[in-house]
Amino acid sequence: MKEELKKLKEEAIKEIRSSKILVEVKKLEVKYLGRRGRLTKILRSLKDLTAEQKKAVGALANEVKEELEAVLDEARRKFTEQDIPATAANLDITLPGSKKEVGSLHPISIVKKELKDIFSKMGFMALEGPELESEYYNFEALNIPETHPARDTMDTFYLKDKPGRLMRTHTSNQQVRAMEKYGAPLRAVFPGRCFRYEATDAAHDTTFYQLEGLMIDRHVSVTNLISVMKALLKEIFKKDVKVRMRPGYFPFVEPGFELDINCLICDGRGCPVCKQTGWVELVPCGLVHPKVLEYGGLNPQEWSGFAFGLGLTRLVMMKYGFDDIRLLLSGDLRVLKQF
Amino acid sequence: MKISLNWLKQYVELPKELSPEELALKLTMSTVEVEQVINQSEQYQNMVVGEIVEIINHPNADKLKVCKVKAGRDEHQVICGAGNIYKGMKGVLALPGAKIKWHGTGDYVELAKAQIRGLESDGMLCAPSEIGLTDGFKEEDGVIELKEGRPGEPAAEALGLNDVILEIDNKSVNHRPDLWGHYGLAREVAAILGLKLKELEIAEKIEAGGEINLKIDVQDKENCSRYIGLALTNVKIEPSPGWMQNLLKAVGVRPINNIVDVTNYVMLELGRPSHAFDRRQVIGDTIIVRRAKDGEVFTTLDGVDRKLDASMCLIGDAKRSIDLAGIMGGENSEIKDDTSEIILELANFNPVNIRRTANALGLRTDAAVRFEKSLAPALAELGLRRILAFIQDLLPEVKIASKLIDVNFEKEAKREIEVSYDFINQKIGQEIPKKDVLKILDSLSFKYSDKKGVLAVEPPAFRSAKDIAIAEDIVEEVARIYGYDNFEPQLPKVSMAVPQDNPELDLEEKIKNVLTLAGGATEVYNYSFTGRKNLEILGLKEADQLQLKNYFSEDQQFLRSSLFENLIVNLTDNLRFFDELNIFELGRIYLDEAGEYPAGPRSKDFLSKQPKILAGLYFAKNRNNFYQAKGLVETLLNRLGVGYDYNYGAPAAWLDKSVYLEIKSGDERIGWLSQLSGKVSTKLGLNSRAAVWQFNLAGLLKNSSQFNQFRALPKYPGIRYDISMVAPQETLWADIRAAVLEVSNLIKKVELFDVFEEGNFGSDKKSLAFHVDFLDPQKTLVSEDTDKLRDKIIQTLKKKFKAEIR
Repeated sequence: MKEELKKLKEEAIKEIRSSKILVEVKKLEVKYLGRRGRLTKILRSLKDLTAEQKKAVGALANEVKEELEAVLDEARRKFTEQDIPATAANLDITLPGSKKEVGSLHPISIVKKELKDIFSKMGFMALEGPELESEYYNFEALNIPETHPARDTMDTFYLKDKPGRLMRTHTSNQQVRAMEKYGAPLRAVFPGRCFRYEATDAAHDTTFYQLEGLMIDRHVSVTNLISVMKALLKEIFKKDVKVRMRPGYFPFVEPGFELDINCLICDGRGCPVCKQTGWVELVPCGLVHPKVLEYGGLNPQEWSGFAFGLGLTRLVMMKYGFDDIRLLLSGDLRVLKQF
Repeated sequence: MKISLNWLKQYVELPKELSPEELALKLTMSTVEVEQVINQSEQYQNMVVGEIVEIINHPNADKLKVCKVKAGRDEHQVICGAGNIYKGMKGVLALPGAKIKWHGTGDYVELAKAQIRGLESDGMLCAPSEIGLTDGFKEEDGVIELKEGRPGEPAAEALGLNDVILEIDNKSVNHRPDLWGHYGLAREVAAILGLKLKELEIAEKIEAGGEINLKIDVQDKENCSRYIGLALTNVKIEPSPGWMQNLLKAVGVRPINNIVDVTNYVMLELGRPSHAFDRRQVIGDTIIVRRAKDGEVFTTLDGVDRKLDASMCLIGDAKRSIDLAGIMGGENSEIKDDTSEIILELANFNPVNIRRTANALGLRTDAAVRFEKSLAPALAELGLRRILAFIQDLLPEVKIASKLIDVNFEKEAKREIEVSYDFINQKIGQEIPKKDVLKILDSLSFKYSDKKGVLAVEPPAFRSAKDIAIAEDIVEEVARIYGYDNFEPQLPKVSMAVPQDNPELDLEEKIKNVLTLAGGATEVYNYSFTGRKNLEILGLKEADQLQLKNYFSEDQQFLRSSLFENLIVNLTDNLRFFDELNIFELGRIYLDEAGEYPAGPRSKDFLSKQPKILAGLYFAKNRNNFYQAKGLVETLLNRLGVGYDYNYGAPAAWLDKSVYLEIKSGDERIGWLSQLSGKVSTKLGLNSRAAVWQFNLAGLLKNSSQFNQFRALPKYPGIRYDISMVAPQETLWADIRAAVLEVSNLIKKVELFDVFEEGNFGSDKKSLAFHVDFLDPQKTLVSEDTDKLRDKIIQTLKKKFKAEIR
């Protein structure tokens, strides 16, 4: 009997230790320790022995049982703690995971939020306003009187049977509205939808997004404008961007500038995107014209400020490499689901 | 606008080491944007003047000649088939490496030595089209014959094509009439580089003649504020000198004759247009400035009949119309080859009227473009004196035959702008040395006097009053010439106040996150405009929609009054690629009723209502989509903390009346949930219904709440029962739920977990299974209590709904 037990123990340990997968260990546990297991059978047969034999063999049998349990434990741990070859497990872990349907934000929403957050860090609040606007806020209050050629060049959509009503051509319409509402000092950005009456192609659409910024305080200067623009562009592009300012004309600023950035495609060496100049026109800006401050109810002797316009749609196109502006408002899910 | 570098060099001596590109950059940085620098001679590299010194017949070809062509010290053998060559003729000799067009068509290719019928040809004598010359040579004549130039000299020089053209971005000079001529740009160049600007030669004295009694009658004073006229006799029409023709050609103006070329030249020099009439055609020596008659047809000198209206200004003589004021002369009075007497016109026309007329006629000529910019009144006289100087130089025998007539309504107010050094420094944000300020003002021809740190500045007449009017304008002049690159950026010193939040934008972001991340919906942006076709699909009336006055595309004629006008198109467009669609949009709609935004300050006039709407559409082929949309809407409302209730209500006609829930928060209707009507679905070709939902953003904003307190966990355990029942098909879950909740206030939650409609209990019935959660906040519930309640629930369900409990 003792011999039998020893043989069983050796066989069992050998078998258990050589098992390849967890299921095999389970099978061996049943084979030896299960209700009809080999060791269980031996233990059961003990009742037929004499008391003395029982004592000697019983002790040994229990010893074997404990040992086998320890070995089984060890084998189980081996599989639970070590990697199992996928093919050997019950799971085909190469099957795809169960699908979680997630939608997509529109790329303009994504960039708008990024910009809003950047400006917020610099103390600019975000304001919105009407898209269907009056000539007064879109033009007149921005020092663009009725006879000004800029009204022609702005390619405006006017409303039928609504004299003096138009679709705003820029988010600058918010400048005077914001001054009226909040007074000075004021730091605000106006993101939003703008409209131009022009034929569409890959680079032009009747509808696009801008983000206009306005800062009004005491003694705001050109050098302030330059430094704020540099800081903003660094945040937007996540790196130092070389900028240059040159004269630009917009009736609602004086002096007015065009701010160019070093072409990010060619690093300023010259490429088709920057028309070989190394520079890309990005932000029209300037000191707020005193007349505009007056329209906003502010005394230009006391207050000064700067304004700038970021082409939100343009930034989206630059950031994601869109080659056709019309895709943005196409509602084409093949495009939108990429975001 | 094209600016010729050779032309500029007449007024300012440019340093030799300054490249055209550097000059262009300096102008861009201080004055105007130079878009492109075009070097004319680049195209004519490896082309020289060649003189034919010998011609013999080609031994192997009847039509070809073998020429010996001398170019400097070298002689080249050239095989040529042109008919017009002769010994001693000079032409353009293209040498290997030159870029030419074979037979004048296709792309430029590089010329190489070639064997032609067994003989080597070292180069080629070029026809005009082969080197891209369209002006001044006739293709049918054969190869180009040069009258000027030494053999061996670069062909570009001999052709007068040694210029560099700066292409200026017109919109960057819209406010600067003085920059619409070379002299104005030369002044800027001189100021930027610190160089001297040469003075223009003008006719100082105009000795009045008496032979012609010129009469000028300005009737339309509104559109003509000054009219200077002068008659000249003894004029001989001939070509203008070569240098003038070359400069005109360089900037794209076709030379015509000496008189026309001089007026064009002075326009391109000073930005000051003028006109010359053939005196024979000015009946009665009378010039009348008046309005056109409505519907009047007038033939401009390009031979086109133009239909005018009564807003347009016109020049007439004693009997008829002879000139479309400030835009284009008339065919009837233009200068002809035999013209010998002329009347010069230098007038100031109303810029707004010129712009409108030019736009209305589609005739934005070089003159019109300049008049549009508001010309300084004094320029008229300067222009006349300059023109006269040229004419007298070219035709010394010309006689002034009339008095100088000057009808002038201009009030030339003396402009004086006060600006202190402090103001300049403050606006710029750094100190500009006083001497630099004064130097810059001098260089731009501004006059000034210094009164204790305050400068009284008088801008030059050629700078328009619109351009230079206030102290800030002076700051800009100083700053741009000083150079923006020379400024040290400096962050503003301002209050550290945290910016105000914008709760609406914050909510929008939250909504979009819930819908995309939890709801799996994708955001779309559509145009604010829509077309008739979309309105028809939804059965909306055109008359109820706001419309655009001007539009490019019929698809964008109306302003959207519902986001669904375009969302339904997103649906059908995308079904080509997707079987399932879950989209939403957040944007404004535009309604023909007064809204919240005033049209002006303190105005009682309000803009049309343009609320922000959040709308969504859910569609999957062959499925009931309503519950998907409902789940999405409920998830959204829960995450936004908006308490809500459903109500039946009356939907818009394009929605399904039987599947419509109004969503209320408190007493306010904030949205709805429905599906497209059968009619709309058919029109869209859908095989199942699209679920649609909508909220007004203001309603969501008003009723959303921050999650700000947690509920304590129950102290005592509750008990859950599951009840499964079969009830008639028409039984509403909302009624069942309400009935169960009514049984006891220990019932905290009744939650549906299964609906089954196709069991073996008959097609007019459905099976519903739900949890009922009991909880007593005061004590541990025991099953004796709740079993009774469950029995009561079952009784109620049986009684109220004829339910069968399973």
